[in-house]
Amino acid sequence: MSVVRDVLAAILLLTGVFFSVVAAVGIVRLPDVYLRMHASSKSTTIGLAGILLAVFLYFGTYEVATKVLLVIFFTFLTAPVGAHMIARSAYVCAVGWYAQTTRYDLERATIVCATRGGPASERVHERAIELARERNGELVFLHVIDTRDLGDLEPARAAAVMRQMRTLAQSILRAAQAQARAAGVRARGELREGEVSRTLQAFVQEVDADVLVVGYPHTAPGNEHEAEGRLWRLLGGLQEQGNVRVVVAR
Amino acid sequence: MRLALDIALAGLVFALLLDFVRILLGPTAHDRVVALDNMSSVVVGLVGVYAMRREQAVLLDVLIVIGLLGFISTVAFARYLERGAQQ
Repeated sequence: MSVVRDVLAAILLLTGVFFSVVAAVGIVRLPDVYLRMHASSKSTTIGLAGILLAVFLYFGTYEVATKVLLVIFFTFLTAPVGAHMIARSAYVCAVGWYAQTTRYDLERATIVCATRGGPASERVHERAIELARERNGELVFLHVIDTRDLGDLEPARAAAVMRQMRTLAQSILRAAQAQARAAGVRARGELREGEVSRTLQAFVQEVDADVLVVGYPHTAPGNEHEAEGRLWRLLGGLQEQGNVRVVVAR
Repeated sequence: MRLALDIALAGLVFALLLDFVRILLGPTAHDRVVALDNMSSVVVGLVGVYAMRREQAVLLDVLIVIGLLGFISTVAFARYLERGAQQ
């Protein structure tokens, strides 16, 4: 009887120690806080339970059993809570995660990138492409032709300007798509005409976008206040619509 | 049993050393807190093994204290770091 109990205790003990060591190896080897936490909280809990059950078998009295079961109970209660608290705190403190971590929230995210064209937009495109790859998402480049200023021109002249602007817009969109293709992400381009921020909002609703990437407003030096005001108005309008995350790339 | 206890002690000390390596390497405070949290769990196991080796059931009271202390310190650290980020 005593031999059987000892052998059982030894097996439980060594299993528990094995899991504890695996947890420690995980803490050293895994690449970021969140993964390390995963190693630490889960395997340590089961490792500790193994060791403590071995203690219980070894002594075999009611007094020991009470204490040991109490500690096991507390560990099962506190380890997940502790891990959750650290994870939350790490997320709030913007501790980054492993580059190969992918988010896949059961569906493909739609990412809309508003583009003005030109060299300044390339960084905005880059951010959008990166996001599309991260979320395994569908990427749409949107260019809006601002029609507000055309109202003052005579109709024939306005039509000619419009034609030229459309050609320009098409080439901007093609360039953006080419940039995405070079990075290995498929993207489509869309062209809209109208007042910029209202058109953007309408488009976001139309394609049910999850993320909108916009560039920091283009402005002459000394005019930053006005540009920032435009940006805030746009963000305010989108916020009212609900479920889209706006990323402002500089 | 004696052999198993010795192996267990060695294994747990090895785990402690690995946790210590993580505390030294960092890179962020959160990594260190995770390693400390794991360290307190390993120490609980270590005290359990030590109690068996010395045949002293009294030492098991220490387990409860260390276990709770480890949890409370982890939560306190997490709250503290979070507060720092918000200011």
